[in-house]
Amino acid sequence: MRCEEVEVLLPEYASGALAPGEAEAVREHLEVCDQHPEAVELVTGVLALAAASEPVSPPPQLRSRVLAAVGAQESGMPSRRRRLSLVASAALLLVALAAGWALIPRGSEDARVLAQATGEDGATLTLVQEGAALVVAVAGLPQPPSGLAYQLWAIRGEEWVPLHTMGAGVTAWRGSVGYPFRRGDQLCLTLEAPEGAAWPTSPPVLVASVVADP
Amino acid sequence: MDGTERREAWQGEPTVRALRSRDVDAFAALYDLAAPRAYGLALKVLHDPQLAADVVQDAFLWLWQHVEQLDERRGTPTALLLTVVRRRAIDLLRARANGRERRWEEDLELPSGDPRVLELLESHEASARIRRAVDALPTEQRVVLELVYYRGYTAPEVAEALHVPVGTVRSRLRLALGKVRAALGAEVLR
Repeated sequence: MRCEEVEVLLPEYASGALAPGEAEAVREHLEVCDQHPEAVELVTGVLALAAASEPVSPPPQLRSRVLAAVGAQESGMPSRRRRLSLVASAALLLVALAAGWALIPRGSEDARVLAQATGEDGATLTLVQEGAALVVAVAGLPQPPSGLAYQLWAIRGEEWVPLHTMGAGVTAWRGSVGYPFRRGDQLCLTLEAPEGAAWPTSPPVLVASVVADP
Repeated sequence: MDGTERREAWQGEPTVRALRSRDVDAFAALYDLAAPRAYGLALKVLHDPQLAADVVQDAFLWLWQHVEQLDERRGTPTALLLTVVRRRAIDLLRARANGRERRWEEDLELPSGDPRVLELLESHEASARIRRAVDALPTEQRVVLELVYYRGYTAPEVAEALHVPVGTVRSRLRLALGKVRAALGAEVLR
């Protein structure tokens, strides 16, 4: 992109009103060309507009919603360091399934099934209370399509909170979740990008309703 | 003061470094600091408290999911958050108005503005000065700014709606943003 073209597009670029491709072209030009001092001025003006919006106290419950979702991701979504151990765990889980072991310790007095769903293909989605912990178990899923992974969600009313993304190629998972499930909530599984999504972008694969308070 | 120090100058704003270490407390501090501005911005675009709250939650989660990729030499977390909030709010607005949803893939690299603007606007007086500057814009400039910045229209769309050449729209937008920037005072970019 030439300097003259960049100059024309600067106000829209600063305002975020350009299509991504055009914005990228302008940004690449600005990275290597110092002939556009006005760019910084315009972007600063835009930033001022955003920051000068009248602050309004958000609904009090929004803070806990955001932090709960972040906490759920943090406990459920593996860091790069933990990813190998999760793969190993998933492999062990599959071995356990092949051996016919039960995922849920049904004989334990501490374990209580709060939600369960079974798909037509035999896949299961279960929420179990084990002492103070809430444990989700997913098993028997078909291989996710290439480029997608299964993602778990908690649903309360209209609100969807991401709990865990299972990773590309992973068809079973078991782990504790930090979300404070209660009766009436739902546990849901969708197919999303492997890095996870903030909002569901595909129809539910499985939905299990929580039938009792922990 | 180098760029990094300047970007850490906003009192109380967690650094990219702290967020990148996935420090939930730092993230909570960012929420406490930035959520009222983010929610106020979303409300201004959407005029719907429920949708505004959803957008703010979505933006914070997006930031958390991408924080490992943030570059502290560019924009602050709050600046990025506000950018994401506005874009997602506009997406929703357009989708609701005419089904023309435009999904932005948010840039992890912000256009470089002067991050001291956030520090300055911590004062209510400076924020009020910006709002007064917007109110004082000539009507034709304020309308263009409103349509582009708070409604998400492109310059060609605004030109069509107002029956003026697209160059005129760009010129009015340039003048409006320049005046907003000037209202920050001489201390920025000196």
